[in-house]
Amino acid sequence: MPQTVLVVEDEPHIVDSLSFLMKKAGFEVFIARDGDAALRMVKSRPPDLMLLDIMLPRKDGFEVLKSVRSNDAWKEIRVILLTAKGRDVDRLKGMELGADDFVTKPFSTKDVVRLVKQHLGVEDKLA
Amino acid sequence: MKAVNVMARQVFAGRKIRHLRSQIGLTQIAMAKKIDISAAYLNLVEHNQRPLSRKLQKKLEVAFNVKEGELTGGEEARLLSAMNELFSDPLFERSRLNSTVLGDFVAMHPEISRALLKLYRAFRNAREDTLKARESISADPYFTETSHQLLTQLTSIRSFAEILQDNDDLSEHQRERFTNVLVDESQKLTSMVGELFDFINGESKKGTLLSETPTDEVVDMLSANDHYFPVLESAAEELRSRLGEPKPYGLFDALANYLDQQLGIKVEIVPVSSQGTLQRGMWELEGEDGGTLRLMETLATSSLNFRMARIIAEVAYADVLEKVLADVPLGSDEAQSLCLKALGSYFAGAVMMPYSVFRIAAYDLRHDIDLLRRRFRAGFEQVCHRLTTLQKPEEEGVPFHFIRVDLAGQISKRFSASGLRIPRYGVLSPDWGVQDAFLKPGRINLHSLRDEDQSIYFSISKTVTKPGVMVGQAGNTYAISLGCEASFARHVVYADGVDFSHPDSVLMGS
Repeated sequence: MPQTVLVVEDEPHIVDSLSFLMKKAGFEVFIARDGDAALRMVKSRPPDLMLLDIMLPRKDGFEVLKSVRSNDAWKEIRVILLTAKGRDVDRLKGMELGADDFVTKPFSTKDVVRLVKQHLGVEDKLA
Repeated sequence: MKAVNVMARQVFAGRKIRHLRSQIGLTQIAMAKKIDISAAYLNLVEHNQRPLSRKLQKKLEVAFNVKEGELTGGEEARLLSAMNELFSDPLFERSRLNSTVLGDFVAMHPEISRALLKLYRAFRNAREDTLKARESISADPYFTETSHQLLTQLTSIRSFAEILQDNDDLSEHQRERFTNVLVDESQKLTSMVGELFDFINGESKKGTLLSETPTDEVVDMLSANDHYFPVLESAAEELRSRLGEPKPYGLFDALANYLDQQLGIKVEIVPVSSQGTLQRGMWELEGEDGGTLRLMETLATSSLNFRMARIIAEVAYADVLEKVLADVPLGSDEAQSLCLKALGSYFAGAVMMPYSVFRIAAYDLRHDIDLLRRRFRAGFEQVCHRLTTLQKPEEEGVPFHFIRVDLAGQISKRFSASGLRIPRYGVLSPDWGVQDAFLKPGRINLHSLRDEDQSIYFSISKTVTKPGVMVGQAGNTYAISLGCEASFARHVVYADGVDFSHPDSVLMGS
């Protein structure tokens, strides 16, 4: 059974590219376009990993991360934050709240795939 | 008293004396002999181990034909202290100079030292301005939003470009779809970068996005319209025609009659003894069916006329004001309300100082504000403000800039048709000379400056005090500055005799 990745991002083209990359890497992909939807999906089916944008409508990425980390049942979910260049404070805050890693926009697709595989213990053939 | 004098005489001039001695080619012994002191004592003085006494100073001046006071080194000490400060800047962390080298340099090259200090001051101002600008830009909501959007577009473009590059096995449909995304996102990025350049150049089409506060929004809107509103000019002319083209001294009665007879608003002048009874301090408009406009008797005639004309604008010409308002991009309700007041004030100014008559008078009287005030029964700020609105095509007045600042240098009004760039952020530097007005309240100060484009500007400034909300209450005092580029200065009486080859100040970067 493939490992699951939840992409939480409101920008459709970024969702499109991430979901293509994750599927190509062999993961099952779910998509949430805002913070509330992300939490609903985590409740219904906790993913193995979340690619979580910070600037989201309704509930931002930090709020989502806090909720995920406050529930013991979800402590195994790996969370990789999508942060913006020049916003070091976001990265620090995210790591403080319990994120496992981060990638900085504009990111390299190879870095994202490599990082996801690394956190899910999948051998990266490209590496 | 004597002790104070002794203290004040602790002057060290070692380097100057050494420099003098080396210039005339004497040994310490030879110089000491000429002025009848021991070589050992001269040595101590030269090394600033002993102060230069008046007696010794006199001897040196007489013996070596030195200009009186040249050795006492007041200027040298000041220069040395300033140079020490300069070289303690982190900029010179890796090239510290010891005090002897610096002292010798200052003594031998005072002109170069002064030029260095001037350069350093300009550098320090530029550094401070850069920091201020960086702070303001990083806090600007437009900048935050735009940088987020830019990163988003870039992320999409980079992702799809890499996907297309790294995946040979894409279907034709996928390849076409991803290529289309690339083209779309690139177009969006291009337009966003274009807008960003407009923002940097202060020309955002969205207008309101550049403005941080409602006041800024209104200032930007007025500037975008060159401070000239033909619709309001026509409306003001129409009102004056209805009033029977009153002379300035008849304007009060004409406006009061119009308010009463046409709009059903009674005008009542309230005696000082009733102070505190007016809702807005110096005036109030209340009651139904027009109501009563109560004005405090202590208001100047110019303020009474201005207030009445503004009420007429808001009541009888509301549709005209609304029409102007509908055509300008303002974001917040507060900005719209402020803008409505500004347009009402514009109308009032145009009623008190009708365009063509006022423009001709301004040239005839060579922009003597005091004479214009008397002729049109208007206030100093009202006249200055009206001068900035003379922007009718083919019938322009002198292109002026206008600045209003408080004692701290905070700008509350700014407009520039003269080409001078008035800072948008922070406080106005004293180099602009506007705050000098606070040193001589009520008097006209003159100031010339050269800006970073090497253009020379001339301005006058004067304090004005707004009446307090209550009679007897201290009001706010501002400095008003009105200026123009030097080539127009011949039209300004205050500029007669001003030497523009030596401006009073030079703005940063010049």
